[in-house]
Amino acid sequence: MIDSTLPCCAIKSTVLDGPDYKRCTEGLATSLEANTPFLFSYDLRIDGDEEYVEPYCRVWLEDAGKIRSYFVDEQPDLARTHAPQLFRMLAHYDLREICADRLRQINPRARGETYHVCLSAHGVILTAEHIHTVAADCGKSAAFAAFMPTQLSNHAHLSGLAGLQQCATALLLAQYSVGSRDKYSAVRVQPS
Amino acid sequence: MTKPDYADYICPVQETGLLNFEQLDRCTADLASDPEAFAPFAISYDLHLYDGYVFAQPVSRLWQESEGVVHAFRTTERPDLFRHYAPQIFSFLEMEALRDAFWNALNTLLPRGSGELFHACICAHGVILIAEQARWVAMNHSVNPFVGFVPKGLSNHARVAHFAGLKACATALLRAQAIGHDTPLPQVRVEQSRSA
Repeated sequence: MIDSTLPCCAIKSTVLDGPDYKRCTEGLATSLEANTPFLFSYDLRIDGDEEYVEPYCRVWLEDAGKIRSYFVDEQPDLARTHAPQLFRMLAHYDLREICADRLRQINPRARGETYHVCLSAHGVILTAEHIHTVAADCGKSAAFAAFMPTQLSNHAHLSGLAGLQQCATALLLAQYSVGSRDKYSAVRVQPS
Repeated sequence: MTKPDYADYICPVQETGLLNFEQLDRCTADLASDPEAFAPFAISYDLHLYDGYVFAQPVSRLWQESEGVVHAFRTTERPDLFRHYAPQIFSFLEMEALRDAFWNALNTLLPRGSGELFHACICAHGVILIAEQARWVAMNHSVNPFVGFVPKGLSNHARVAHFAGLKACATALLRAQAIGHDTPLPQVRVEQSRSA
């Protein structure tokens, strides 16, 4: 039987403990609610030892039962509403550094693959721009990764894992189906 | 031979098809066309040169003159301004094809650049790349610390107007680096690029 679940290993990082990360995620919903953003993202391209920021800012929300991502340059109202968080996100060097290091670990042979760096109220999710292709070509564990804060109670930790799993699954389901390779339908977030 | 600090700087301007009038208007909506209007006149983000590569750093700035001083405001300093100009800034950040033109221009300017930082500034008249340490780059690399871009297809009259606007903005951007310098600032001359 084919396993249709992709793994997403969540590791703890002190980078998410500070006030900087909290400021980046102000206003994000903690669960999928209609018309309330639950993720902000930008893109990171990995090519060997080099990483390149691709500053395409997106806001992710549920709209009429579907998960949609909006480029903020095309949505002036979203851009203005969330501008402080989005600019902080783009300028958060420490966050970018841990994301790039992690991507080199999960996909050491990456040659120009683009990942979305997605900030949620529960932590950060890294997901391949082409999830199914990367899972097929580079291995299932190369498609997703996550970070959580270190300073969490047991209850908050479990709640955070569940929240990340909901966001990661939404990201997977939001991707356009690419036919026969489109064989994954869920993400399982696991602590490291 | 080292370029003397007091010589004029030349800003060679390339006409590029990677920037069209619609994009320029979209990215510069509500920006002042004259730096002396005491309103933001340019939006920028950073380009880092490292080992011959050029990396975009999405650290945005808004450039504005006030009380005779040109300021480069960061997000946290003027959140109100950044909220207002957010759509324009995001539009500029997303112009990936134009970034290729920046990389080509900077690789030509400083093929072995490493550690230099340039601001990619868009204003109502076009785009200017200016070294953050303009004098240092000019002195140590014997190059002009500017490159300009305007859309292709300008009429002669429009070209003259755009070049004059770019000159005013390039001069203002350079004046932002004047703090702490006793020597007079070099003049900026805007010229059609020979390689365009």
